[in-house]
Amino acid sequence: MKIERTVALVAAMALLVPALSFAGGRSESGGPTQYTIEVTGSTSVSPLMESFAETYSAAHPHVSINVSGTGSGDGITGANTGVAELGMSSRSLRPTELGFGLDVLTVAIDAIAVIVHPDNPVSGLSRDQVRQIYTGEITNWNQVGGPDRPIAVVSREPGSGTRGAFEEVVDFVDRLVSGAIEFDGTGGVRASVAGNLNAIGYISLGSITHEVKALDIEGVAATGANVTSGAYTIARPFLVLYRQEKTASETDRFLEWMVSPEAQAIVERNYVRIN
Amino acid sequence: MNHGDSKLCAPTDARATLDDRDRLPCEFPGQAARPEYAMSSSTRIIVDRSLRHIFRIVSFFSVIALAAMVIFVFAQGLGPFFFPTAPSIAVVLENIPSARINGSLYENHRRAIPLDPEASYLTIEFPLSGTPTRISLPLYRNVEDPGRSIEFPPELQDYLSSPEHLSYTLSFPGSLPGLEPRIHINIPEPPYSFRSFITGREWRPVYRKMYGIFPMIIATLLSALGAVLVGAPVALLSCVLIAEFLPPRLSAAVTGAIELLAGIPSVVYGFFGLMIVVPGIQRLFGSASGSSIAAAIAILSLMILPTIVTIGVTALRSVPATLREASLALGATKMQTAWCVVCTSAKSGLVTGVVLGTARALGETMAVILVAGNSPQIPVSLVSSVRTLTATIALEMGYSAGRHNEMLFSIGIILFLLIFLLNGVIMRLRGKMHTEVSS
Amino acid sequence: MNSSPKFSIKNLNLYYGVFHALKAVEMEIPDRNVTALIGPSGCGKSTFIRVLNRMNDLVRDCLIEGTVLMDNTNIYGPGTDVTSLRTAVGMVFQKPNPFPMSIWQNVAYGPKMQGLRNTAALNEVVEESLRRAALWDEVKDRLKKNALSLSGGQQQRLCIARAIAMQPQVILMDEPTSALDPIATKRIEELMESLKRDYCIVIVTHSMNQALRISDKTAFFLMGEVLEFGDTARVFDDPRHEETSRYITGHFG
Ligand SMILES: Nc1ncnc2c1ncn2[C@@H]1O[C@H](COP(=O)(O)OP(=O)(O)O)[C@@H](O)[C@H]1O
Ligand SMILES: [Mg+2]
Repeated sequence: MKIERTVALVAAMALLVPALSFAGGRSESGGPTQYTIEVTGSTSVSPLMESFAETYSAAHPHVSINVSGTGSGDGITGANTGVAELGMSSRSLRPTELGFGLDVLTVAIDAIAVIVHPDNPVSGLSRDQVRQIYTGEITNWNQVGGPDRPIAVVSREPGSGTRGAFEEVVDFVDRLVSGAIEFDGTGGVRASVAGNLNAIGYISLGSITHEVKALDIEGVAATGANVTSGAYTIARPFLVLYRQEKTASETDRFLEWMVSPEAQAIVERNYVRIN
Repeated sequence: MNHGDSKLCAPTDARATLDDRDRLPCEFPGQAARPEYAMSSSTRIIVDRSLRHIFRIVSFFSVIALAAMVIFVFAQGLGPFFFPTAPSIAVVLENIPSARINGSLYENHRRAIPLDPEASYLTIEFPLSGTPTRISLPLYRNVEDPGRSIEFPPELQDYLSSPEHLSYTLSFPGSLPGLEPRIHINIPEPPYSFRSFITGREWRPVYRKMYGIFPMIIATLLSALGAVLVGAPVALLSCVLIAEFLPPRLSAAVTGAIELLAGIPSVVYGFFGLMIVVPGIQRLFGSASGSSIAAAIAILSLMILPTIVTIGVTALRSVPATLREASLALGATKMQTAWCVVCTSAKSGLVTGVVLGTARALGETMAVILVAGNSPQIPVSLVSSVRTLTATIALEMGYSAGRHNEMLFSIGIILFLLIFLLNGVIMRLRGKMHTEVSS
Repeated sequence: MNSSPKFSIKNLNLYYGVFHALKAVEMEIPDRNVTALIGPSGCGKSTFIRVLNRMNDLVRDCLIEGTVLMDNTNIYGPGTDVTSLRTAVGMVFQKPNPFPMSIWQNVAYGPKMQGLRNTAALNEVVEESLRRAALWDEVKDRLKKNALSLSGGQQQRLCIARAIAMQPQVILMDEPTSALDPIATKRIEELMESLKRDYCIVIVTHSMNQALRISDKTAFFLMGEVLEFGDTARVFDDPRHEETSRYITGHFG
């Protein structure tokens, strides 16, 4: 064996091994009892999951919870393939996804609020009007009792849990008017509506700020109480997906905790608790 | 190591003999070793050869990594055009603890149950509110429209719904709300035609399963073209100003500033666009919203400026001063010299700058997502909301699943080809200019 | 006309910043003659020749004092248009520097920049200039070819043709043959011989033989000063300064 080749190999290993080991084991570092739960999926569910994680980890120091918000599709696939122990979805499973045979836990109900610019005089719409706006049959605010201004329709991107749920509940599945503005993420939709007097959009009720105004639908205000009572119907479940037979006992306890009164109290801060 | 032997062993390999050459004993007879040289020649050769091996190993790994990425993209992206999404129709049982499907018993089975591809009937036997029920549906193979490969008799229509294209759900009244027994039947999507992918005008990936990217191709090309048409002339004028007319100190300062601009993350450009350009365009055109192709072009032309200017200025500066002197000595003005001699001499570099700028415009994602409006439609005016190819990938990657997800990789392949084409153009132009100059 | 000098330089001082590059230069350059400038490197020959077509204007911090009269007009006077001065005073550089364009475009460049657009007239100028530069026969079949494809000697003659195309009165040459082989050098020297009938030629050279062969007047520069100026034969046969003779005989420099 030539010396040079050995030197080169050793040097290359010295470069590569740390890189590889970074990619490899990351979970079990702080002693044998430490356990990390990987949670991935919906960006809408992520904030709630992070609050869950914070509270839960504080009470159970040996459990750390890693939340990454990528998207509902990612969450479902992740739970199916085992990339993540828990998946988050902000929409119900689609027929092909039902075939994965995942276990589903509903941890919260989230109302979807229809939002406009705070200076927009329109304060409420019927569900039909919302549908007609989103399918392009209504294009001016004066058709719904507002000023003579064109309507800028703002939506989420295809595949988004929020969009899927909204299109299903308002009943215009895949009929979004072409030319609508599409954003990835609640923040984008909110910023777009906050900056445009003509705009209409929809976001999770928990993400409403004073920059935008939530419209009444069929005369019912978008509030947690109205969702619980069933009066406000534009809502969707927040789901956690997992495989019962694969989850560790720590994860099982975390799942149980998510539907406990303590966790549901956290839900109630921004969302609607499950019964 | 016997030098003569190794030469004998590999006489045909030119590289082997080349390698051998620096293995020659360096202490020639009569040439005394010089102790003041800290590194002996054998150490030097070992160092050199070790470095060479390190280079080889490192480049080997990077080539493997790049190849793996390309193969991965192609493997993912080509699938939809060759394979159906599943080998056969699959049945999913929801809230049905036990059922017999085509004769086989399934207890507490929640995963999809694939049918025999040859089956001509789908028979499901299960207890419904205590009474045994039997559903029998005829299956048709090789039908033109895959939606017709299953037939539902009229008496089932009341229970039937189709939540998305090629998926059927039979929901039966159950004892508890939310626990209704349901049977989902998923028909596999046949291979998608590449033509409808390229020329299709509808991108409805979720429910209608239509994957036409023609509007996005148009939007991508138009916004890049617009950005180049607006940005390139401005950039070229700035290049000439910076390289030919500004005093050296100022020129260096401006170049530095522009290089800094090139390093600004594209999200920052995007936010600038969202906060300033989009409302500006809305006011200017009086449109419903300013998120449009015009905003995309504005931001992209701003973003490609630094690319073109840095490359262009470098090209102009590398034109030998003797050419400028020659032109001035002939009585040409500085302006004439700048355009007719300096720019002509540097045109290959300038073209490279513009092409790289175009590539940046084609590949830009984050900034465009923030300002373009992202509607997958063919733009009809400057204020049309449009979606580019890269934007589609970035917007939907996290949320997509199955074929929708694979189609995003297919879009990646198309982008790949676009950039490939652009590289071809630059190579050709370069070659042409080279023959012009050297022949 | 022959008797009055083309250039008459009086008390010329040139500074690059604080560096005094030309010191109190006095010189009368005759028309239709070859004037050679010799001297060791860095003595200011190029600087001086560039004074004659005001190329030093391009150098920042370059200060010029004194008068440079061309046909009794001060070229540093307030009324002088630099570009038209340069059309009258052509220049050939040490290294051949054709533009990376076709041979035709190289020669036609100057007239075009002056606004000559007529192709027939330009063709005429190109042919005439290439003939006078003794290049026509070699390139007449490949005028559209890139000038960089020519040999070094041909490129230098192309640069001369390019200068001639402006129909100048003066041609300045700064070591025009120092980058060429002996045969190409010989051709350029023959060319100068024929050109001096019509032009005032000023040439910087490092070759004593060349100066002796082609020039009528010789100026010897040393440390920014003109130490000796006179008829070439006189300067070489009977130098008035010790330094001149030592330089000519190759004892320093
Ligand atoms: N642009 C310039 N800036 C400052 N000094 C210069 C410049 N050009 C020439 N010099 C200096 O002036 C002196 C004369 O230079 P030059 O005329 O080129 O000499 P020669 O051509 O006789 O070799 C040299 O010392 C040179 O360093
Ligand atoms: Mg010189």
